[in-house]
Amino acid sequence: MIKFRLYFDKDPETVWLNEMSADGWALTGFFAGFYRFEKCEKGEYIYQIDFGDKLYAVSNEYRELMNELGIEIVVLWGYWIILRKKAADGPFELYTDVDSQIEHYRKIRRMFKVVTILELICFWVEMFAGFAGNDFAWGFGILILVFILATVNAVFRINDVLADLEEKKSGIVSERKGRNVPALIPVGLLISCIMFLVEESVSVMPWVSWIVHILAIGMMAVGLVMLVQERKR
Amino acid sequence: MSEKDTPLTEAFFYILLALRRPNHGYGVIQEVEQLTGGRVVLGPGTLYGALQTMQKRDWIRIYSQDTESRKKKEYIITDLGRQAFETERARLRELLGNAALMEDESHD
Repeated sequence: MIKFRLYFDKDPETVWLNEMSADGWALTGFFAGFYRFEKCEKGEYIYQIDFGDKLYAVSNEYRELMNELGIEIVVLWGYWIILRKKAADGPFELYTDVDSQIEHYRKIRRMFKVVTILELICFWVEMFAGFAGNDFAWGFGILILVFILATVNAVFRINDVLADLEEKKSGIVSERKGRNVPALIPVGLLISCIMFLVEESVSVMPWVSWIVHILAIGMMAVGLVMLVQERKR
Repeated sequence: MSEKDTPLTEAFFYILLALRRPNHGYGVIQEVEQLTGGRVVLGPGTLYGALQTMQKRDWIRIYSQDTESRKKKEYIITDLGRQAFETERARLRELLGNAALMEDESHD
């Protein structure tokens, strides 16, 4: 059985894989959002998702350790590693203390930030292509915009997870700010996008269009700086 | 975890302890679980991350790596690792020593 899903968050993804396993469907493969399942005993496996240091590879040391612990590496996708263990062999949690959980989510957040920046570059390229008269670029631009919003959202969610973990570790209740500030990015993007579309249909004074575009890019730049800056503890 | 001077995490402390003699991954998890009466059960992600970090800091090293006989990879503590452990031990001793003050207060 093959199912299509797009997850930008490993926690609900893990829950879903374990629900499938509880229903008698074990994940055996993954490709770009397509999950392949095979029949298994109900609840035969426990799934966990790890985040590695290398693309599409793990170190021999990692492989040996997992092997030694009866854990199977099912999927390597980008930096993601989907693992499973027979439920009969006892509980399966990857990160068992707050310090390593914080480390784990920080690594994931760093990746999402880099991906967001790459998406923004792609988006700008599409915008200029669209501006130059390539109609296909509009479609791609909007598609990339959707992905940008998804990854920015992932960063925000991880910020919350990390705030909870930091709180657990230090006992100090952290301020959860900043979530609304980098919203400048999607807002800037939308303004940019709408302006391009408006220009397509009606003629706008060039100076109006430039002011709006510069404003939008300025918003994105400010939002980006805020997004990239690691919050100091 | 990022700075060497901060107190060792419980995981680091017990992993170093379990590597006072050559030990492999599963052996470390089992020994730590035994020593703490099942309170500390190291997850594979936590253990792997700690092993990597401690190798980078030269606190532990690979002891044996016999791939032909499919023998498990073993690790052992280094002198630098012992030093880090002793620093932590001194800190814990100080904590315990000072903790005794609590009893003086309560008898007054």
